[in-house]
Amino acid sequence: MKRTAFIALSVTAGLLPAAQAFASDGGAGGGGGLPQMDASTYPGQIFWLAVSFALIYVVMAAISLPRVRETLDRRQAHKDSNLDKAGQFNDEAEKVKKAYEKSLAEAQKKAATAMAAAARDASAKAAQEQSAFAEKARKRLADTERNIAKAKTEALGSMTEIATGIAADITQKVANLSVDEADAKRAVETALKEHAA
Amino acid sequence: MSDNILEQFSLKTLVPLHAGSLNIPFTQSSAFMIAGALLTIALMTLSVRRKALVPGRWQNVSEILYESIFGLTKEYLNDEARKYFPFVFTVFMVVLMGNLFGLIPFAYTYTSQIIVTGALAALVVGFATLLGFAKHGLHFFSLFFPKGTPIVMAPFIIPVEIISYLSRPVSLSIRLCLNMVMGHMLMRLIGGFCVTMIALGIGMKLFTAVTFSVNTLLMALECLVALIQAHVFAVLTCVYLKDGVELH
Repeated sequence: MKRTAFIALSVTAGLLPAAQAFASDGGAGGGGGLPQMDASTYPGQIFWLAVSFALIYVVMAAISLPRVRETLDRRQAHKDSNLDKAGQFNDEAEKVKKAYEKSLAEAQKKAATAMAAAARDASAKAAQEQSAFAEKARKRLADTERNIAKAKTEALGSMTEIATGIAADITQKVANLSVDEADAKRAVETALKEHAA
Repeated sequence: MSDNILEQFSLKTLVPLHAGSLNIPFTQSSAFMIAGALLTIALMTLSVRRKALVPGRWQNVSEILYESIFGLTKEYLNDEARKYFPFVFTVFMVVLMGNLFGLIPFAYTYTSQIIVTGALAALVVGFATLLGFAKHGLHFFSLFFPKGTPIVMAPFIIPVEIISYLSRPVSLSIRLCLNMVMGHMLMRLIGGFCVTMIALGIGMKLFTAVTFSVNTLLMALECLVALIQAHVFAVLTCVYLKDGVELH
């Protein structure tokens, strides 16, 4: 569109002075018009045009254009191979990335398993320790209780003896009676039993 | 300096030459044709001498020329592009060199000669026609009767198509030649105007400056026209070759 507009513009721009030129030429009645119309120059012009055309054509077709083509093809090949290489590198990088991600995931999984196992172990051990401690504590408690009971029994036993002694002494001092120790003991035990009942 | 704006188109013989009875003088026009050919060869050959992967300036110019014209040829001739590309390229370069050389002051624009553009156009259309006959034999005449046209239209369509085909070289050559002639006439006219006004002296300086600027802009426009016309010529060369190679 732009091209056509420019051509139209240049033609119109050219037409004005040209018309004037032709008019003035006609008015002057001489000049012979356009030199382009002189047919005697035609053979020479065609000859030299043919020479230059042939010169350009032969050199272009035989040397220049194949050479430019070769250069362009070479560049294209170079570009393509570079692109190929880049693509390969990209693929490789992608592969490495995938492998890395895979190993990372594996490591994470392994770590999680190990952590779970450790936690399980720890809690098991804790439970074991706790139960062992509880057992020990219970045993010691039982021991202590038994000791206390023993001590109590002992204390109670010796209390009977003391009471027997005291009872015998009191009987001696108050009633002036000599009491057999075995009788005194029996009497105290009977009294204690009655008291307990 | 002559006041005749057509004077710039007249040929001046540099070396008189004869081939038998034919007069083939080496004129300034011939000199520019040969210079154009040599410049084209130098540009397209020396610049790609190193076949650099990263092109320099000149190699870039060659490659741009190559790729633009090859792209054009490919667009119209597809698979046959490689075969006809040197022809299209040569046509383009001959026209381009003629157009561009003409923009150098005192240089001769050989594409302003109707016989030169006419010969080029005849070469293009003749080559396309020969190709058509060589490829399709008498089927080539089907070009003048487009497929799908009702048969009753034949008496009207065929003459129209023949006339349009025959007018191809005419329009092709006149378009280029007149573009060059008009552009150079206008530049010469305005340039001569400047010179005249300077000669008249006082009071005309501002007006001269304005006219001179107009001529400068015109010069830029002509550079564009030079490129565009060469391109148009190459495009039409491809179109006509396509008709010869593929019919419809």
